Order: sequence, then structure tokens, then C-alpha cells
Amino acid sequence: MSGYTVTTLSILQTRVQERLLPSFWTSAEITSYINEALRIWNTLTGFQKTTASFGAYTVSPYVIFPTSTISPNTMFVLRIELTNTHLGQIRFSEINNLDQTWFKTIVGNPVYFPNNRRNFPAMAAARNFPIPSLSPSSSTSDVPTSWFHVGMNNLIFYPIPDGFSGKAYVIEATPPLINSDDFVQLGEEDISAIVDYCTFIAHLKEGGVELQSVLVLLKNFLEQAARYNAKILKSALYTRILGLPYQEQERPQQLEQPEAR
Amino acid sequence: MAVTDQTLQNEIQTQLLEVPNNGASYGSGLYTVAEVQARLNYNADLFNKFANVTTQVAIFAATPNSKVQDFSSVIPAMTDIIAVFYTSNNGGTWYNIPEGSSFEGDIFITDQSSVTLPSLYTLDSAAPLTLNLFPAPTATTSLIAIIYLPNIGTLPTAPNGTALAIPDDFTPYVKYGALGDLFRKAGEAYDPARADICEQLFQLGVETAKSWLSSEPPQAS
Repeated sequence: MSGYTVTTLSILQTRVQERLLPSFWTSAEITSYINEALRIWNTLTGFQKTTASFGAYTVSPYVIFPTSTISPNTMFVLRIELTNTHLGQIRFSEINNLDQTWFKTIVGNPVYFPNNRRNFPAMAAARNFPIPSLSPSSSTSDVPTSWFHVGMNNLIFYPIPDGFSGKAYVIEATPPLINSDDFVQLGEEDISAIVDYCTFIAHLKEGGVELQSVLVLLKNFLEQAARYNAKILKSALYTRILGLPYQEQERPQQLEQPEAR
Repeated sequence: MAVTDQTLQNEIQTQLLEVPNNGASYGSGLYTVAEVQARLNYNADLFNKFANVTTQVAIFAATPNSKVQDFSSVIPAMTDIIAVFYTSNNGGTWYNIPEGSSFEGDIFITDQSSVTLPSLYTLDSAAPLTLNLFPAPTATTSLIAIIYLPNIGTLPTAPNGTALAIPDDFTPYVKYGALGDLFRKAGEAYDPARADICEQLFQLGVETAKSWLSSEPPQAS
């Protein structure tokens, strides 16, 4: 990768205009294409990373922690740390793996699956095992150890704390470029991808053969985002080796298996 | 949540070769303002249904000794339920109640007299905006917290600067979902090629959002 440079809106406008007929696209349109390209780029790569401290926040008795509490522009939370430690990020379906669970009791236990058949009475009895709590009543002031996203706008902490403060590493929404000297830090290889996307979207207005001929530009844009993410995927190897996140439990949650359209 | 309906309508108007005026009018007569707003609302709800980006929580008092728990007074409209939490001591201890089925409840829970902590919740035998707890809870101090997908397609008939309740950077995908619908409109406006591309962009947004929430960064292909 080449060194990062400061790229202004003016530079991006010029780069896009060089590829388009000026009489068919206004400057305002091109600016909107640029801001849209940066937004899409951010959803694909999580480019707009930053940190934010958040103050003591009383969660109890509510189970939900809005990410807007961290920062009003928060799109996604990557990491949360307290003063000298960090909280483990888990998946929604893993909350029942945090304690002894009905599932752990059942799976692989020959008592419940003799000869690969279900032993319904035994399983019914096992069903009376308590479901793990999110907030042990004796320790509502516990420092949380884990957290997970529920949607992009909410988090849940485990155990539910009655108030704490920390620091969050987040992806923020892309601030729109409005003035000509507003800037974004992008390397040249990424600028080309952004310009490609803008050109593609501009031709969407035309349709027809012109649009078909620039589909390759969308492909370029997506491939550049994939290359950007390849660096993130490399670090994901260590996460898998460490066994984190934990394996999904038997009953996957709705949040992790949205339907296809 | 700063991207408004006027901004999105403006961008839609440019793609439809209309004069951009924040969605105030469509001079070609091929579209109406309310129609475009309706497509934005529909696709916002659809996007959230598939991607689960915007959630809300509602907490209400459980009806003791009753399987049927009516939450219509606290959630008048919703798209889907994400999770159900339960506390028998007024919020002191919350439990995640797993989703199950009435069949599962009947098979596994032979004694269905009321208990302190229900084992599962079901929707298959429940009326709209209610859920059934198996077994019924006993505590009079019990609360139920439902984390759900709200109806976010609540833009007014005429654009007035209302923000779309999804993260700003995902709003272009909703716009392309709406454009895809508009390009499929029968008549002069029909343009299946552009509709297909817009639909694919909508799908890209859904897959991207899902990849973030499933703890996997978007995959290289």
C-alpha cells in the first residue's frame, strides 16, 4: 500500500468529473455520489475507526445499552475496555454458554441420547435446569466481563452492571464532505476505487448500454474493499485459533440467521 | 441517524431524471411523492427485517399464572422478535428465555403448573402481539423485556426532513431497494436492467450488515 494522503472533496470531484460528461451531471450530484461511495466503502471496510470514552451509565434494570451512549455517530462497536482490561466480545447465542446450561447438559450425554434416540422423559427432567441469568441478583454491581451486539444500535453486557465507564473502539458513520477543502484520508489505491464507484453510480442515471459497460467499475470497487478486508481477515486467524468467539450453541438466535430476500 | 427522507428523495429524483427538489414533486408524472416515500418505508422495513440493524427494547409487567402474555400495549407494531428476557424480581435478575414451540413445551415439560422461571417462549400458538410462556410464571413482580425489530418505515407521506432510523452509512442500500421497485413499475418507467442492479445493491447492503453482526468481517471473494 502506498502512503496515506489527505484527499479533499475538491480532488475527488475533479477525479470523478474527468470521467463524466459535464453537461449531464451537476456538481451537486457528483458530490452526493462521492459521499455515497464513502458511506458504502465504510460499510464494507469499517474505515472510519475511532475511540470514544463513555461515562458511568446505569443499565439496570434495563438490559439494553444504546451505542449512541458511546457516541451519537457510532455505527458499530469493535472493542470495549475498562481501565486495565477489556471485555470479551461474544455472540448473542453464546450467552447461554457462559454458565452451566441445559444445552451443555444434554449434548453428547448418552443418558439423553441412548442408541441415538431421544430419551424424552430424561430430557424433560433436564429441562428444569435453570436458565443462566444475565445479572446474578447478588452481584448487580459486578464489572461486566462480556458484551455483544443486538442490532447495530444496542449492546448487552454480561453481567448487567449497575453503572460503569469505559472506552470503546468504534466505527463511526462517515461524515459527509460538504466544503471543497473537507478531506478524507485515503491512499491512492482506494481513491481509484471510490472514483470507480462514483462513475458507476453516475451511469446508473443513464441506463442502457452505458450502464452495462461500467459494471466492471462496481466490481473493481468491491474487489478493492475485499483486499482492504483481507488484512482484517488475517488477524481473524488468531481469533479462530484461540477459540473465540465460542462455538454456537444448538439453538441459533434470530439475529445471527436473518432470512434471505 | 442524520440522513433524511428529503436527502434520499433528492438522490432518487436525480436517478429518475426528475428535477431534484427534496422530493416535493415529480414533474414527469410517472411517480408520486407518496409512492416514493412508501417505497422507502417498505424497503427500510425490509432491510431491517433481513439485516437486523435497528433494535428496540420494551419492558412490561408479566401476567402471573398465565401462559399468554400480551404486549400489544407496549409494542403496537413490530417486524420481528429478537430475544425475550424475563425477571421474577422486578429487574434484579434477568434471564434469557429461549424460543421454542408449543409442541416442544408439551413434550418436554410434563408438569406445566406455574413456575418461578419459565423454560421457553413460543409464538406458534400465540395471537399477534402476544407470546406464550411455558410454563406460566408465578411471580407478581415479574417483568418481560422483549428485544424486537421495530417498524422503522415511518416516513410521512410528504418528505419533511425525517431521518431514517438505520445507521447513516446503510441508507444508500435502502434507497436502491426503493429505486429497484420504482424501476419495476409497469409502463413507461419500466426498466428491468436498472431494477436488477438496484436490487443487487440492496442485497449487498443486507449481506454486509449481516456480516458485521455475525462477527465476521465482509469476506474477500
